[in-house]
Amino acid sequence: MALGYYSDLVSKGEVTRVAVGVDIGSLTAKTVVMDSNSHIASYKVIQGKIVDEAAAIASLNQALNDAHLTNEEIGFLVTTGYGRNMVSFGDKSITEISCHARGAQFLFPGVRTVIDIGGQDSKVISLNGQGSVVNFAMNDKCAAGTGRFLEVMAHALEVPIEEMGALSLKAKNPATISSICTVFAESEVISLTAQGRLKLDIIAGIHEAIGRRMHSLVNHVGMIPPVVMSGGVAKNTGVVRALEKLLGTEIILPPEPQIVGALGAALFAMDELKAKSMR
Amino acid sequence: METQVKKANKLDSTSLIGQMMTASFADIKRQAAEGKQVVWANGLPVYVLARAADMPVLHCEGLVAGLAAKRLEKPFQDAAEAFGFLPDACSYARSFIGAARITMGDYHLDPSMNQDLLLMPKPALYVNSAGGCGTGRPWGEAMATLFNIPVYHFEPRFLWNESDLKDSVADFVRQEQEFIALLEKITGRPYDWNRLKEMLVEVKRTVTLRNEAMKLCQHIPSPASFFDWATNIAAVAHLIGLPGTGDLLQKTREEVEQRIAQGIGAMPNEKYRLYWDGILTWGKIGVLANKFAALDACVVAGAYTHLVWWPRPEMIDPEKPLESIAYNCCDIMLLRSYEHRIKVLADFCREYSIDGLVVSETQTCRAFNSHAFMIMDGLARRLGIPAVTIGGDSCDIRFYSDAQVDTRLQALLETIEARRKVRQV
Amino acid sequence: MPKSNIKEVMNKFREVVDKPYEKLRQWKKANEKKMAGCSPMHFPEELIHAAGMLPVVLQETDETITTGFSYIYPFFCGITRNLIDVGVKGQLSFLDGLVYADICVQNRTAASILRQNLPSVYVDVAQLPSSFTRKGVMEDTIKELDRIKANLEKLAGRNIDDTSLKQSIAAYNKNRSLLRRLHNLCQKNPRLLPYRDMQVIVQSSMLMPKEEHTQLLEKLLAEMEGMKPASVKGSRLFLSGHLCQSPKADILDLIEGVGGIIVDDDLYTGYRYYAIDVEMNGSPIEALAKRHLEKSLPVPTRTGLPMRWEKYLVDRVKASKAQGIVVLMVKFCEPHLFYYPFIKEALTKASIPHIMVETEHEVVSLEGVRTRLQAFMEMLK
Repeated sequence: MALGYYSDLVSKGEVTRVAVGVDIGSLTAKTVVMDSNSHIASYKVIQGKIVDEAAAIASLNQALNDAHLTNEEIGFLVTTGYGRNMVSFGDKSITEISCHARGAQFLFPGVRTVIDIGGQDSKVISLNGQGSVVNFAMNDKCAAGTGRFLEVMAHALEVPIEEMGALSLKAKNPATISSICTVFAESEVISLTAQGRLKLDIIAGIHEAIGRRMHSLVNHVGMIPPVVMSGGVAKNTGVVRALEKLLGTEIILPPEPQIVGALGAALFAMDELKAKSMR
Repeated sequence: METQVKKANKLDSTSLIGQMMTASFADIKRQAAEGKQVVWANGLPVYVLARAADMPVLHCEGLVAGLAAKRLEKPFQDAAEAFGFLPDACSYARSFIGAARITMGDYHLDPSMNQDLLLMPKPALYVNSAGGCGTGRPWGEAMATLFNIPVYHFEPRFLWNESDLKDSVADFVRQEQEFIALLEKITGRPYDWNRLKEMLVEVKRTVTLRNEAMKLCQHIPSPASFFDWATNIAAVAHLIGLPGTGDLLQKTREEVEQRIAQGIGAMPNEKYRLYWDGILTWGKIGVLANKFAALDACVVAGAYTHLVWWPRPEMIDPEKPLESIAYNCCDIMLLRSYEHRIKVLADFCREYSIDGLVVSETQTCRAFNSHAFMIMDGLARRLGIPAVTIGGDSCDIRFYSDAQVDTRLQALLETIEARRKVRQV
Repeated sequence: MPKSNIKEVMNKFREVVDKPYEKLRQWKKANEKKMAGCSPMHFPEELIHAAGMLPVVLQETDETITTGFSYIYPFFCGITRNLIDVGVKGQLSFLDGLVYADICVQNRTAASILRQNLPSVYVDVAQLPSSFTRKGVMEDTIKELDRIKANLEKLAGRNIDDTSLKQSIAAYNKNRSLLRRLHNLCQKNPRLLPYRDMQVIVQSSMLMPKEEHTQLLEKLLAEMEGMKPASVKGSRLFLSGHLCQSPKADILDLIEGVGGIIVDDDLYTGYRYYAIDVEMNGSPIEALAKRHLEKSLPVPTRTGLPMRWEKYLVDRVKASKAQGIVVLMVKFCEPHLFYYPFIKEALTKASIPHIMVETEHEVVSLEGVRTRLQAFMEMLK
């Protein structure tokens, strides 16, 4: 994903219009700008407490800025993610399911299963050999097995969320957190702490609990390798290892797991651009 | 500061149950390998009818409860989930449908798992007699569809009025007759009525001894606890009618009597006597028993242990085998009206000197939870007994939370203590 | 063609569905008749009608559960909790009787709790056989129907003779045939009415005096049959499931909003309710027994039916030329929970794309459902 590539093309006058994907999640806004050769020109991830239109626009503007582009040069913009219908801009909205599948297929042609753990929801997508979505399962009501779950637990343990992955890998005697419910699991974590269990072990237990929850979603659609994981939680090595163990297969990680959905959206935008130029 | 952790003083004879279960399961597999037709059954023990026809019987709930107590149930639930089951469905049924998928080769067990315990012999017949619970119907039909085998559904009536029992028994006897005809057809042999009568002699001995031993727990301190009797259900459910069950219960009874003579209680220091409503989270049975021990509380009786399995031993007459079984399958707590239940429970609370009620929310079982709040309310109004609900399930450990149970139990005991103080003043 | 008549009829239907208890009280008073509520799915309403009472199939309402929480756990299905809640709040006390057909343990629990808490209402439960392969089920069904009939006679203070029962059956058959006509019309010309309106029409049939509903329905049909087909763009869908209660209008709007064209269904408040008539020849009680045993769509609350639900569904979906199927599952509906895996397997084998949506009494947020439905439509393209 060499940056700066796009601006070179612009200066040569080879491209005039770009395809853009904006993924408005619950905790982050992501933008991917793509040129007509289907190369990523730039991307931007914005973290926020709550993501709103302003955050989405900020990620869009910053990504455009990085690629030395302006709004006028957008040929087609697809929004996706939790807030895809809530923002006022964009030419079309496509669900994060289709976008994650498309993005993962672009990065890893031949992928058959995509696991995405986002802030508010998590999903498992099953693709056929041709890259089309054939089935999916989504955890859309309960925080168990989402980034939010990790956040609650990190807070209960007073550990920075970014450090959880590395810490858990050092665990020797992982704790068991059996409850299906975030509220119950939180009280389990508190009582494990009160019992004097090591934080490392409790964190490992939390990761395994997320792993089990995702394993159950995977079970609903059926797993076919290769498996790709996207979403912010994919940056947590502890969760990835726990899940690999439960699934009994290796999980492939994109270099930047958070932008897979936005990338997919940009690819759909590119389809529209190409269809336009054909006309 | 070191404190001695108090632990439940389990009955020695109860520990034999595990061995008997393992041996009987191995025996069923051996018989299946020899070509005998295996029966899978759920619910009430009318399946002794098949056992007397020389068909080895797997009792689904019994088996999965035993596996859950050893924390081995997970692969079954994974298999069910892969099939499309959601966690809201009865975990007994869900687990065993998972076991069926594994048996059919539709789901593969991890090679590291204990294949001896988790691989079931294929059935030739399914019996649903989940009295009082509608789940048995789709469960039985699911099994029959998966294995492409016949299924027989027993349908005992719900007893809205006291006078309904006689009709219900007559109805049930008709169903037993039809079932026996089906057994004859499947086995190709005339039904062995003598064997059934012999078996019922052993059944009567076993369940009578068990009921007597359970009644001895009216003694203070209670010589055994609900958790002993829960483990002990196996003797009157999965193992019922098999040789050795009567002798086992004889031992249990003697052990209980001995404890009373020596003043030994099931809990090291019994200060509170509790009643348990609902099923228990099998995977936590040891944890729960010790938790109560640590709190100086003894659960002395419960609906699942005392009022469901062979509740009418006095009606067993080996010369009238069908009526004997019918009474014991039709007159169970789950088929009784609220008026009847509350009356029986109030008597129970008096007889067992109950201080409080623990209601285990069995999250995937609507039958055992049907009147939980009305029972809590009814007993509070009649006898002033406080109650508390705790989260849990039969076999799905995910519905259980230690931290929640700790807080709730402590609150219950504090309420009991506060009431005692008021009474003293 | 003026559309105002359709609007007027629909408003009448909607009025009772939106605030059923208010309207029912008014009818009861206006008709000077006794009124008996019955549980959905399997209770023969015709018997109540023949006793000269107003039959009402109880519906789930949107009311927030409050008092009911002290009677029943939250892991019971929506209609069970809702009816217990409104019952203990006294909202059902205008009924003279409340009759249940034993469907599942939750429904039986509702009957039991209401029996304890509604002292002024006569509560009875029909224990109709549910396993149809057993010997003597016909005799057992007739016996139980006779018992229920005798109790309803006592409640109504009037005998149910064969002639009046036949008249009631005829009135119900007439209403069912009109609903089928509407169903076929909307199958041919989908989106003639939004599917939420289809639900209102069926639900109001369950609540209104039958003859009045029939009259309004005839008026509606006469106009609708002259309407031009609506222009539709999207993917053809079959709606399945949702036993006992109607799916909430929001969900149906969502399905149509993301481009779903609902062409057929087997919902309880849909095709399942009016698919099959009761025979008019012979003994009417026997005809009702036959309907119970032989003439119902495959249903997960009964066993030993000639065809399993999943097989039936695959056939129906193929016949309707739907591109996909939306399985609507009432959260905690145990009979459905046990059939869903088989349905999922059968649909997968038949290469019919499907999505399962769980619905709850308490609607927290539909955003997740919208995303899933939209993704499903993207998948169908």
